[in-house]
Amino acid sequence: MVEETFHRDDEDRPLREIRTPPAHLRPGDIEHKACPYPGSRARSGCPINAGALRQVSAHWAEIIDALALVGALHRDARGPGPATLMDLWRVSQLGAALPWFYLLRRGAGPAPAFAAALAKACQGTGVWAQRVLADELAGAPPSGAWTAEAILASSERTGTLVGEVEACAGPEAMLRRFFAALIDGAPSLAAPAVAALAAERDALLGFGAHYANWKLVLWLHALARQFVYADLLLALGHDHPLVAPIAALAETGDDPPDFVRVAPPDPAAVSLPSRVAWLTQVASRVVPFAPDGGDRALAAAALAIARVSGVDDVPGGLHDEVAAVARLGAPAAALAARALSTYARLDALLGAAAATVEAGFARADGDAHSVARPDAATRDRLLSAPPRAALTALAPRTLGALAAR
Amino acid sequence: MPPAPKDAFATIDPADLATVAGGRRSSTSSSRDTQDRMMDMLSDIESAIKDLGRNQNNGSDALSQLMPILALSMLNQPQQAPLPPVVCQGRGKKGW
Repeated sequence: MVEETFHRDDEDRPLREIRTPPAHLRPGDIEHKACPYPGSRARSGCPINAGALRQVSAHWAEIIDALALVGALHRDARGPGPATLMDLWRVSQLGAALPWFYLLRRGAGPAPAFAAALAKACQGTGVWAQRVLADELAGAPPSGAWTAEAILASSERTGTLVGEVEACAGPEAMLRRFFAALIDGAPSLAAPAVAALAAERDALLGFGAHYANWKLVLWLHALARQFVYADLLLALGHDHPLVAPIAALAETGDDPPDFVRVAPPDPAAVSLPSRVAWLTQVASRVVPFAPDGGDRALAAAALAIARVSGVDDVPGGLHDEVAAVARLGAPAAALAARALSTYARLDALLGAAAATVEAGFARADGDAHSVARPDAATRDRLLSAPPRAALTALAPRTLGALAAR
Repeated sequence: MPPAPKDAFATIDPADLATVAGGRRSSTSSSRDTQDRMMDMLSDIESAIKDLGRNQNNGSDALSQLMPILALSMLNQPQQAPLPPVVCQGRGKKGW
């Protein structure tokens, strides 16, 4: 899911559209046209993906019905009340997960076109919700009840309708209809494919809940790693021979790609209790909603990620080793050893969370086998910029033994 | 009558606490105090996670892996601390 960038739907369109690596794109896959829409999209000068829009138009009824279906399933799981920002984000992730629901099950073929098209739109909606959430965490007033018009206006305001090289291809009327279905759509289940999905409601919701909460755990993990990097940069100093890869991690180590880094301006200056308070606030967004409760372990993992970021116990030998390897004085070695200890704990939690997700995905396919924690190499493949090598260089013996499990 | 649910939570191996979570206390605490505190915390965490896993059919391996880490993290449970000011850095883009 993280690495497989080559998938196509059952109409042979690439799931990742313009984000598909060139090696997997074919001539004619992407058809750009000038953007006809006003507002931020017109100002951007970016083209729209006309081929993707044609597919959405061709499957519009199924897309809206499937979106209404996952929204209704989420409302049933969550209980009554107006949709909050996080509710809308979660529903968007249920839609974004849909192609993987088909692809990752044994014997399943490619994702149907309606599911692929819905996922693309939902990914954009997820980016919008993430931006609003990030702004709110950074101090913007919390959002109230959302309407389709309000989401459209907010999408304009947050720049979500303009990507790196393309603008959103949907006309405003289509976006309003999509957002209305996102908020409180009622599924008709008229299309056989959507009715078939509804018949698998528990599996669909369980799969999507693990997908959504896994993304949040990855995000929280990335936010927690920023404190590790900041402490190490402070301990080593700018001119240290081992500092360059850690400085690069601090610049680029964000996960998952559709999330926004929200962090203190000077993470190293934040006290341990305040780090825990901040990360716990983010962790509270991990709300389990899988029918079998399997994603409760992801909520526990999120809380644990926050908590271990405030622990200052250091494994025996680590302080002395990092002092010797990096030639640090006692205060700097203590800070570096604490940061490395935190990384080892975060790494262990990443493995536990990944095993939870894999088990949850398997149960959605009727397979109840237990899943072992993934090894270090597999854990690293889950991150866009794994820090293991750079950090282990500071204490190869002790950290290597801790983090290689 | 349905069978009683299987207790999905394995006993914690103290060795895991020392290795997985790196749980050796600083020199200011005696090992006896540390062990006592850790066991107290373990009891609390175990109860909490049992509640957490209620109605869960599977996935207990991951939960049991989390337990020692949660236990260690609880040793230094902070008091109510102020939230640091935070800023957005970057805007995110479509992923997977």
